Amino acid sequence: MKCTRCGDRATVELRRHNAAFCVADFLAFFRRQVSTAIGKYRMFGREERVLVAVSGGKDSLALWDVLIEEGYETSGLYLDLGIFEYSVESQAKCQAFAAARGVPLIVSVVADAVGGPVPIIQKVTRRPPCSGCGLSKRYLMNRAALEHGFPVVATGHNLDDARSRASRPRCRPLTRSWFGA
Amino acid sequence: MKVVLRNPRREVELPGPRRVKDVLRELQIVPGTVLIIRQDELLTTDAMLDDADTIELRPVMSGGGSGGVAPAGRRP
Repeated sequence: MKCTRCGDRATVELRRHNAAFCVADFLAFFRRQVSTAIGKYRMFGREERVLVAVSGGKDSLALWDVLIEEGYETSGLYLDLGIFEYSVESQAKCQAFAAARGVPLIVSVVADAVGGPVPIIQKVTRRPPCSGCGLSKRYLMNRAALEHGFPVVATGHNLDDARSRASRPRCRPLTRSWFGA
Repeated sequence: MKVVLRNPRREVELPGPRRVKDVLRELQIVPGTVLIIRQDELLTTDAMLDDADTIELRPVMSGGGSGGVAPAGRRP
C-alpha cells in the first residue's frame, strides 16, 4: 500500500478517510486535522492561553505537542491521582515531555484537593473507580484553569472516549473545554 | 509465522506466506482495532508475511482502557 500523498510505502491506513500515509505524511495529516477542527468549530483563538490536561498517555501528549507546534501558548496540567507506581510513572513522562519542549507543567495532587487519592475515593464512595475519578478530575481541571487564568481547557480524547462520554449525563464545565484529537 | 497477541498475552503459529488481512480474518480481529507491528515497524493490511516473520497485534486503546482485541463483527 502506498502513501496517498507521496507514493512511498504507507505505514498507517485510515479507512475512514480512504487514505494511507507514510510516517511523515501521517503526522502532517494529523496536525492539519487538529488545526482545521479548532478553526471550524471556533474552539479558541491564537490569543487565548490553553491549559492542556495531560495524563502521560499518547492522546493527551499528542494534543499538547500539536498545540505547541501550532504556536499556542500552553501549559500542561497533570493530576496526580495517587494510583501508586502508575501515577509516579505518568507524572515522570509528563515532566520529561514538558522539559524537552521548554513548556510549563502544573501538577495538582488529587489527595490534597479532595481528601484522598483515587483508590480511597473508590472505597469511600463505593462507586466504580472511573466515576469518582472523573468527577474529581473535572473539578480540579476547572479549578486549576480559574486559579491560573486559563480561559480554555483542552483534553485529548479519541472517538471512543467521546462516544463513552456522550452516553453519560452531562455537567456544564466552568470553562470552555474541548476534545482534542 | 509467529503472531503475538495481548490481553491476555499469547502466541499463535500460522503458516505463511499470507497477507496481514488474512491473518486478521483467521484470528477474527477487526482491522483498525490493532496496530500490526513487525520489527518496530507498522504494517498495513495488504503487507505480505513470510513463514519466518514475527508480528505483534497490539490493541488500540485509550484512557486507561483494558479492553482486548475486538472480535470480528463487533466494534471496539
